[in-house]
Amino acid sequence: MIAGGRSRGEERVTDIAAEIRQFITTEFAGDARPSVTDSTPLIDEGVIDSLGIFIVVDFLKDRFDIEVEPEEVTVDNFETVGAIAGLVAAKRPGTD
Amino acid sequence: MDFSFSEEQVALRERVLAFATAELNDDLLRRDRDREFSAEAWARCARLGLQAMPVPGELGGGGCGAVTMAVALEALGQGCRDNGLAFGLGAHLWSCVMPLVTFGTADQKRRYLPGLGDGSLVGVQAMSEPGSGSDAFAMATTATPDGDGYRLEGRKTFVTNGPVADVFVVFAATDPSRGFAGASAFVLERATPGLEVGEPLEKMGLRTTPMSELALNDCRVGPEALLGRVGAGMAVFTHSMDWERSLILAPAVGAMARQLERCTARARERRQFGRPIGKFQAVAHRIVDMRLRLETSRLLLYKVAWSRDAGHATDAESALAKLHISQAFLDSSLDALSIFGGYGYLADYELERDVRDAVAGRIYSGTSDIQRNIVAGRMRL
Repeated sequence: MIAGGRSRGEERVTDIAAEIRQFITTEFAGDARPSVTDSTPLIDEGVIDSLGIFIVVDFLKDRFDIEVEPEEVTVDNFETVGAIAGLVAAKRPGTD
Repeated sequence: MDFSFSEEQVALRERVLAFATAELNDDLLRRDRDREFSAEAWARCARLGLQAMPVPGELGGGGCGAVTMAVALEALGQGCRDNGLAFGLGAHLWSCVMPLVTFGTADQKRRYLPGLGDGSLVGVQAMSEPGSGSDAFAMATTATPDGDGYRLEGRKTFVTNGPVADVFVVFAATDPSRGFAGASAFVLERATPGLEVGEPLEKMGLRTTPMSELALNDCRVGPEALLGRVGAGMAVFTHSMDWERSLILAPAVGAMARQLERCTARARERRQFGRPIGKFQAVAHRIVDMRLRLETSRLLLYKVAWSRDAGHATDAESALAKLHISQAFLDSSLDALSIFGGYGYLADYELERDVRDAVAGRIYSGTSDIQRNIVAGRMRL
């Protein structure tokens, strides 16, 4: 075990959100956009489109080892970084 | 890596091929000419269990995986020369049955899936509109709250199976200001007041499956008609399109196998200039190209089917499969026609019909350009 690390069970929603925010900023936001915060309306501001949602879904599967069911790919779950982090946290028991 | 099918899948393939060859080609020339849907052929497919393949077992279905369904549908396309019937069956499965399997409530599943599976109900999806095709979510059809339900207003077009359909998966904007984020899906029954099916549209090919417009005039539905949550239209549509792009052209792969068999036999038997025409490289190379298209199409079809069964993301793979197989089917249909020369141009030889049918593959379920856009997006281009 690597000393000083947090186990999966000790992961914080804020850490998850930070990783998601970083991914979305790198992949979608680009230089011309204002920085993405946890409450930026990703869809209404055009940061991600319908295809982008599925790219985010793939990222979540790979990075957080979760399954996102088709019926969970809804606007409410992907409206903001905070909402996406909430979805991930709900699927990872022990996240605080 | 193992490319073999299970014993059950091999047996299924043989069963469907024998059935389709013997049972689905009746009076096809006339039906194509008269744009006639065969309710009898539809019922025969249902008796074999084709419409029920993806329906869960507890609702009378086969509960089949994607590879098994691809095996059955490829065999269907090889034995059944009625490409329109196979296309109509695909539209029913991928754009109506699958959305209900995945997003339907327990009540919706109980109400619709047994009938859709046993063939007594025909399902359709209504998305495209006169003003929105490739830009699907620019739809003008709206669903506004009405009591505890909704009032739908709008007009849909290119509704495959529309004239014979009983169950309609209809997309409408519940929040028109939000584009794809404001779309919702509904399940409507044919008898719903305000739902009006238009006259069949005359088409170049796939003439044995009817297509129509659909008008929604003051069409009031209860909350039980909502498929998925409010605003879930994008998820429902994308999910069904992913299935459709994955498997709608499985019968075309079978059709290419049929064409290859015919053309190979023709090239061996038909003599010109004192030799079988297959001895001329111009003909032989064309037939090799047909085989190459068949092989590559099969690989893409079963790769995406396997990926689906394995739970992997398939949107790029399904777009690639659809893009390639549709073009391969058209190119091989044209090659088959050329190999038969003047006879290939005659309706009686049933090769010109394949050409007309194959053209549609580059248009429905998203044009080939849209498939390229999907793949490009997935490649972060």
